Amino acid sequence: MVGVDLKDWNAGTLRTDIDSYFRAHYGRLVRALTLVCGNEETAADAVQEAFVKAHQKWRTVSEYDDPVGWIRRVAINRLRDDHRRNTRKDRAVARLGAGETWTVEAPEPTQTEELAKALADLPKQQRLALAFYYLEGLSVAETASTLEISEGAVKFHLHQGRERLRGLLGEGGRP
Amino acid sequence: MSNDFDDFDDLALGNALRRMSGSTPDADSALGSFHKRVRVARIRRISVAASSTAAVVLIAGGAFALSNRGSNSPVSPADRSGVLDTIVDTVVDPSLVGTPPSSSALPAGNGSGSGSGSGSVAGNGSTDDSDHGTSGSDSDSGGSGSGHDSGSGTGSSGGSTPPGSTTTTTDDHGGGSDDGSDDGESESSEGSGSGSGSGSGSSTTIALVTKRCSSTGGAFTANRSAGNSITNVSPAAGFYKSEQEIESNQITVVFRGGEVEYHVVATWNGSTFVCSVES
Repeated sequence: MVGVDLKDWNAGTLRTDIDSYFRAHYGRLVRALTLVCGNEETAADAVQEAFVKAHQKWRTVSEYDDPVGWIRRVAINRLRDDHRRNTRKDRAVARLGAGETWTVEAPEPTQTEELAKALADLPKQQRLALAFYYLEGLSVAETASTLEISEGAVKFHLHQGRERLRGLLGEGGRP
Repeated sequence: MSNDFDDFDDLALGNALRRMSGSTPDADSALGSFHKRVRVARIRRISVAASSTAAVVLIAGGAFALSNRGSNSPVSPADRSGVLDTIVDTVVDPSLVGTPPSSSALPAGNGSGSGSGSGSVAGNGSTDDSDHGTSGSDSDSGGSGSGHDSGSGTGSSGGSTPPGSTTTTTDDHGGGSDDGSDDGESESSEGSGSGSGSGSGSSTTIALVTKRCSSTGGAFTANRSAGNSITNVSPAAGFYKSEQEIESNQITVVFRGGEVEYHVVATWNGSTFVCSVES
């Protein structure tokens, strides 16, 4: 967390302030959300949009206990919106192209790809819990706060997600 | 990192997930893109605010224009055959109109005079009982005070209205007595009397409303003051004015050229003239 004196700041410090937050958290946030949505560009877009929103109301956001938590939540919401939009679009495309079947012969997936697929098959909340716990390094309580669910629910999602992925990791624990 | 729950510590899973999430993106290059987005968002916000303001102003202006349209009704779409242009302009001679229309109690000015009615004639030398187009039809039987502009005397109204530009007619209908040197009718706004009677009078300002009506055959200006009249009759080339008829609420001028006739009619609708042309 970047410590900034918020009591005495102006436009210049605003920029420095949010820039330092950006530098400190952008990479980890993008990686965590990439794990969730499976697309780095989408994740980067969501995180940048969240930072832009934070910039617009930085006076308010900066006074929160955890400004990055706010940014994280905004990014997640943005991802959810994108997901809903894409789902609607895919349904519409499927309706339009009903009857046409495209068969693509896929190459044999690697173990990492299998893991990615397994991860993609997990419920979104489990993916989010895994990403924030293992990648962002948040505690269970912080993950619960970010996802706005209880700590028990976070533990449940972590347990379920780990169980489902453990099989693919093999006995040695490496994919 | 603050992992309070060691139950979920799984190094292998963490490493696998880290590999799957790819390399850490370059925050510095992303920062430039972030600043660009901030600028775009700011511009968008400003443009939205500006366009919203413009829309509000536009709507308010439109509403204001619509509400003020009442007295200036547009040209009636009569028979428009052969009509090039019907209305040229509408002129209310400002030197002939002293006060805004439909004022029952005018602001006190240099003049003085009070009536027993509800209104009082005191102002800058001119009063107006009704719309500026109507003239001389106002009367108020005094005493009850229910009439508008019931007052006595023209007072010493040395107002700002140019002398002779307003015709003020004051009719006393009994009930009161004029103590001042009120003539009852004054031609100018520089009356010298000091009206303080309790009678009830009625005063009318006769305003001049003009409108130019034109057609292919020619044009004329319809005037309405004490009565209807026409001026500036100008037939078009090859035409001449063959007839004219001035009635109480309508003026008709016929322009003739060869076998073609244009009947240009200016109809008084109570507040203005409406031009129409028949060929």
